[in-house]
Amino acid sequence: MNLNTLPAGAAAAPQPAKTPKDREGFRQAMSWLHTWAGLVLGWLLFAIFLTGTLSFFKSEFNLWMRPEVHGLPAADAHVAPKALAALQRRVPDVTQWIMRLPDERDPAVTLLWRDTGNGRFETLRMNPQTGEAITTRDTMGGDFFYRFHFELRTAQKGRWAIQGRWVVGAATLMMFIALLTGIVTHRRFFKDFFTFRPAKGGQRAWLDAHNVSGVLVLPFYLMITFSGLMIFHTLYMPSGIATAYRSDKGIDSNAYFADLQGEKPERRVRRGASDKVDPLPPIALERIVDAASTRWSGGRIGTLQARRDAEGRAVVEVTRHEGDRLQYRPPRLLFDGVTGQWLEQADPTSPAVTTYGVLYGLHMARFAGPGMRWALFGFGLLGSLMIATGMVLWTVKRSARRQTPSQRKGAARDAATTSAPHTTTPRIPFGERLVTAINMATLGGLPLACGVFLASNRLLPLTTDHRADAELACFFSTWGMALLWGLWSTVVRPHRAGWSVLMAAGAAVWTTLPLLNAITTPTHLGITLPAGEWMWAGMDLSFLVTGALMGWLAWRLRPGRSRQHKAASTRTPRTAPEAALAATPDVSTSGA
Amino acid sequence: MKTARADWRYRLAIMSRTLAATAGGYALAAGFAAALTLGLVPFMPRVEAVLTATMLAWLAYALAAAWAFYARTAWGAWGGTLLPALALGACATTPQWTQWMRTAA
Repeated sequence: MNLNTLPAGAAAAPQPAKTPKDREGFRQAMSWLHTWAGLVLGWLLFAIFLTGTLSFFKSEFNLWMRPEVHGLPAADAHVAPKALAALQRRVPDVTQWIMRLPDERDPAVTLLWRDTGNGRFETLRMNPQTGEAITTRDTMGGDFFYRFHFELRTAQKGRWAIQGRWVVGAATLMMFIALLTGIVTHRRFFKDFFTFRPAKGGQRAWLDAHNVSGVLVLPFYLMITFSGLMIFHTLYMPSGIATAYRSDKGIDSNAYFADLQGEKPERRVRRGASDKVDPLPPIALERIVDAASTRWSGGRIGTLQARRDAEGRAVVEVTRHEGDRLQYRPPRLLFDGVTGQWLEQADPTSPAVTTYGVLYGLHMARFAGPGMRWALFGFGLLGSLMIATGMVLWTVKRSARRQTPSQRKGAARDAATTSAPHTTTPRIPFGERLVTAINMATLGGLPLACGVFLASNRLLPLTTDHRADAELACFFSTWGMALLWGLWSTVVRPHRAGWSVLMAAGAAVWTTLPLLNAITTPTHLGITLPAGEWMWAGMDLSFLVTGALMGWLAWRLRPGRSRQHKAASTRTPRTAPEAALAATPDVSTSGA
Repeated sequence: MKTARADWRYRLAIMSRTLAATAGGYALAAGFAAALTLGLVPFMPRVEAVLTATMLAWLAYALAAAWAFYARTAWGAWGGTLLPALALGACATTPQWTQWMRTAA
């Protein structure tokens, strides 16, 4: 698993074609690919994975970052017509609207509307009983983590979203390749799974941690990366569509999307920027809601939306609640907006489309209840941990190699140093210092930046111009400063406290969050805990746990600890199957 | 400076393989998706054919990338990805070519 494996086999001396050696050669080539594919995009992947994991709790972050919606009453049965009436009092000439009904994760009615055929949607949050608007602070909320994890969004209405999706797609593909090659590399992973020797220290412990976190939820990683690629297959891999949906005027992507979503192509509307659309007529919403509820006896309604179809007719689409089934999207009923007459159900059922829908649903996890959601969150964290340990392993391995130069004469020249988190010596090659600096900025800096993002939600004055973007600016500038700190403490002026300081800063920010919440809003732990409002209390408690974890890491990584620890670990070596240790490649150089 | 030259050649070979894995692999996967879609269309609805082929194309991509780093030489890496990509691409565009020939004749 090193730089020198490949040129020896590839350029200089072709290996004899014998079966056992060939198999070994394949494994080593895959191992090499695994290491480098993992490192090159590991930083990006860590960011995607961590923010994606937070996105499992998107609604909860949305709520926490809009404390104004705290304490709303339970939804009224006739909430939809009331909300629509309130919207029409406010904006008479609406051409299209989407209404999200309240549920156990979000107590407010959310209405998106626009009064031209094109242009952006405006958002309105409403009281679920009266339909009256609630003024909330300007924030992107949990949607920032969500958007960032697949399009690296840098502003609320960023212009580079498509480019961001391409970058994320490339990283996802690398992850997919790293996973498949990882299976080849760690072929003894069942054995590895029962082998975790943190006391061994150094490379062995990092490799064990990487293997355990990698193997434990491997099916989850395969699912999440593969479904991530498939969700954007129309962007990333459109050649199949181009083959099958060719028409006289080029590629008929509209027909493809209609087939994919099980609806009639003529109902899909694509309007240009200059198209004029007539405002919607009065909608028979109450009748439509009743009809939909009857049809889905017992099923919840998730969203309602009204628009004009290609023929100009007002159509209302009722979507079932996303929590009602695994396959995404949920089934939709179409009604004539004026008469309230049922038109059709849009719900694709053919095998490949259903498979795609299930993959999509698994990725989005909208189906999951609280228990499942926490489990997926845990898997996501383990995934972030796997990426993080893999990235640290890259540097730890080079440190180990430096300590036994006689074993790897060829390697000694390029990799003659160490850059493990807690052992920094002055003679590290620039490349490795840079890797360590970026590791620091990613592994320590990103959690810190997320904490600062949440803190800025409470601290920025409510009257700030473009407040949502100001919050993002806080996030990105913190992350940038973490990178500068990483470069300072490894490249410019190497010292041992780099990791520890970053983690301590993160711990300070995250543990302060519940305190900030208590000072600036009426929804603090002293109220939410006794009232049993777990949605609100859970956020504050999770922030405290995050802070404690980062604090523990800061303590573990403090300067001076490593030497004492090493002395202790060599005195009492933990017993591991010696045979496994000797047989596993790349561990002959103990990091301790 | 023999080692320096080997190092330079080594880096070039790695660059070449990386490019073969990413670009060549993508060409192969895209060709695979197109050709398989075309092959499946007579037997199932269009959308089914597209999704089946596209899902399998990601596996083809991963295999192509693995091949690019397993092949003995960088040339092998390119040949192993681009030749099948060209063949699959030719299969996928055959209907258009035959149509074009017919209209031209």
